[in-house]
Amino acid sequence: MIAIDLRATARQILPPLAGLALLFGVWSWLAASGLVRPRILPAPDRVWQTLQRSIGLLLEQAQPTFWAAVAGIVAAALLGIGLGIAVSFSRRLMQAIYPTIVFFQLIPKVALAPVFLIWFGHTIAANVVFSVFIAFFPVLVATIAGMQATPPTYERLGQSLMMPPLRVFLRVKLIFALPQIFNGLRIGVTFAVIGVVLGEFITVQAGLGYIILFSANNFETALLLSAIVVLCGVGIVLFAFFLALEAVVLRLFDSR
Amino acid sequence: MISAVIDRLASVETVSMAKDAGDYVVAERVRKIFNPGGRHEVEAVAPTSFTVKSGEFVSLLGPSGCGKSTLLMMVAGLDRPSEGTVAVAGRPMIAPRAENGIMFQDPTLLPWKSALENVLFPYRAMNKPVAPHIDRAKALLDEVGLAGFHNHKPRQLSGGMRQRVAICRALVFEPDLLLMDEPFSALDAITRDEMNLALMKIWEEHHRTALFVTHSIREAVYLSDRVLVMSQRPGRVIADVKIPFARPRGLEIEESAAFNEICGYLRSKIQHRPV
Amino acid sequence: MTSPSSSLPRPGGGVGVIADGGGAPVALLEAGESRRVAPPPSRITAPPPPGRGREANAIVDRLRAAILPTAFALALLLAWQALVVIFQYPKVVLPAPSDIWHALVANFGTICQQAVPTTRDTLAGFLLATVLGVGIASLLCFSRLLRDMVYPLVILLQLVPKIAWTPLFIVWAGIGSPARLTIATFIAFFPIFISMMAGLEATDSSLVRLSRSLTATTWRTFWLVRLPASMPYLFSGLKIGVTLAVIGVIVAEFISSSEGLGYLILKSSALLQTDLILAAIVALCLLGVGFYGIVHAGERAIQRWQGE
Repeated sequence: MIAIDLRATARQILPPLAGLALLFGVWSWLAASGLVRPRILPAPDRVWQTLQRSIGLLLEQAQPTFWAAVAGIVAAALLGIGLGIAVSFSRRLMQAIYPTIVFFQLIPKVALAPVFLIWFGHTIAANVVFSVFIAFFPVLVATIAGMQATPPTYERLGQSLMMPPLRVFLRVKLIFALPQIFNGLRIGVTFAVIGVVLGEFITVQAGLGYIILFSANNFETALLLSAIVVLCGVGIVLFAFFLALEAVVLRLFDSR
Repeated sequence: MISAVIDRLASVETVSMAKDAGDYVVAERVRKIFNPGGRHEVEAVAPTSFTVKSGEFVSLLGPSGCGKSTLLMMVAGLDRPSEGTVAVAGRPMIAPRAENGIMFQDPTLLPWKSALENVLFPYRAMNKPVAPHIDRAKALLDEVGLAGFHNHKPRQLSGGMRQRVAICRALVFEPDLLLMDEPFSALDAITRDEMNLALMKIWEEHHRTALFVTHSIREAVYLSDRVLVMSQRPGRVIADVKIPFARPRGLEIEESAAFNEICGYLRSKIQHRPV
Repeated sequence: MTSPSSSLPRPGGGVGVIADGGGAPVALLEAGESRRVAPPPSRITAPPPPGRGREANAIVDRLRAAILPTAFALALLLAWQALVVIFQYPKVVLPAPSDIWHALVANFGTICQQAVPTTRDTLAGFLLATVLGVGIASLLCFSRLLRDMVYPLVILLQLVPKIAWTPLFIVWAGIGSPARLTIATFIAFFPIFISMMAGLEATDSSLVRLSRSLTATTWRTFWLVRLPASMPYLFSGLKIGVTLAVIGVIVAEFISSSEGLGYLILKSSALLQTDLILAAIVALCLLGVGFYGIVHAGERAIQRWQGE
């Protein structure tokens, strides 16, 4: 019976692995055949060697990127959730503000990066603030959506039990909003990383974004790919943290 | 007098396996197991046999989850039996056949198409020209009381109206076998009576062989020539009961003592738990 | 207090799964995608007002819905102007809205000229991403094995901050327009592909079963049932895709270009012409909203054709 279930698991895992192997196969073949020059696309093993050789440098450069992203998402979360809750208390306020928020969702906010450069100079602070700016909106929009997620009957139930609005908010509305808020945080955390990397592209002289741009300018494609791999690691660590936090918090409230 | 009815019922109850020329649907020792060998292995249908004669209206009646829908899906060729065979018109069902008209529990209409377009959907699905059949589709819609709603979208129709469109769609290409999987179970009781009446009227007019799955005893008795009672899961046919009412039938037969007697008898059969 | 979605009944019960973002694939979406992938697509209107709105006069309500946001936006601009006037911020740090307006008027020719390559690359990249996204998703619909091979990899790739790949494409495709187009395609592809996949897979299974029972071929079922049913999903993906395409082009223009609005913005920042930066950004916003409007109009057209 266990063997059968293994077979089911294998059916799930094998095709993507085969796809991945195919991808690496084509990549290796392209590099080995000489059709593509190494400076355009180095072979997978060369990228691996470069990654091993420069892992010290890459991890060192990953630190400013990582911490700036952490600062960015934490500040964006506090601001976004706070403002989202505040706005949801007044219908008029929401009506007034929501279209402006949607407008900001639509416009290419990355274009504002150079303005932050002028305000904060070529510093890590510019990166952090820009990252907050980018990550803030998805958290805000998700919080507002979450505050609407409580089915009306629950609110009516709260009213009929004479619960004060604050209690209804804490005991009911906030709990119903949690899944949406975490949804926003997950988007926000990837945005925060993007904001930092973009900032590093155009401002500071450190961080993984800087390494990526530097190696692109020097056609050190193997180093560029290594830096992207490490950056993916940074993104996944942050993402996984929020997934874990979500699992813990949601379980906490489910069990009560 | 009532006991006489029961005696008569009991005499025809034996599940006859003898194939005869009039048998249109023949299911032989059909069995269905989901996830065979897996951790979630479920025997949905225990080996069972039944037949439906040409032109007959037969209901499969049983408790929820007894595998009656699975049995119907195998007759439709949408599911393959794990063991045994299903044959329709003398040919084994291994894939859907174009001569089956089918109705599901929900109307299953294309939400972006009008009622008329939905009735014509079978022709589009089979990639056949639509134009020659438009008049017939319109006539069918009129027949079920949807004159004036030909161009309405499903969301503009009530639940009962949608299911009427589904009836028309199942009949439009003149199928020789009509398969219905609890088509009215999502409707309220009053609409359901209306739908039964509508189905009865249209069936008596077009007179196709029909296999109807339901968990409503009264519905089965009202509509059918014969009711096949299924056991709890794993389901198998445990009784084959002839319904003696003459056609055309009005809703008033539901008030008769004989009707209620048959219903009571079927109810006792359903509650019978197999060993 | 119904959700904006409830006014639009859609085929397929899978909608909620995506909207709730509980499932793994959604967790991997990025760029506001997971929220907005959920059909029915978000409208640019105020969210449904909470409760007790029923007795209110509908006209007053509608007027308020138009006036309040406009008033808020105007108040924001006025506060900005007042802030600059009162505290005498230097124009380099914070130009007033009036300064931005003047810069926009004075440099109108330049801005229009630089908007041309940005528009061209964005639209070309977006169209290519649409063709690829819809095409590949449809292809995977026909082969279970191919789908199982490709789809998880795309989801995995989705995790990567895609903006970071921009320099790689410049290495590959040079610093010209083709590189910017490729980047826009690359970034816009993912939401379009993923929402198209979601739409095709979320198609009401009973509709598919009906089609099968009518002996329709796989192709017929795709054409008559799956494709129309996936339209709401596709359009929510297209809306994300078009905003991402603009972002891709701008970032590419930031890091290597001598033309386009991104280039103009970065050049002005080097010259500390903050008013010109913001004027260029205003133009960019108009472009972005314009592209979004086009997709939105397309969606409305399809909806009307589908009888929503």
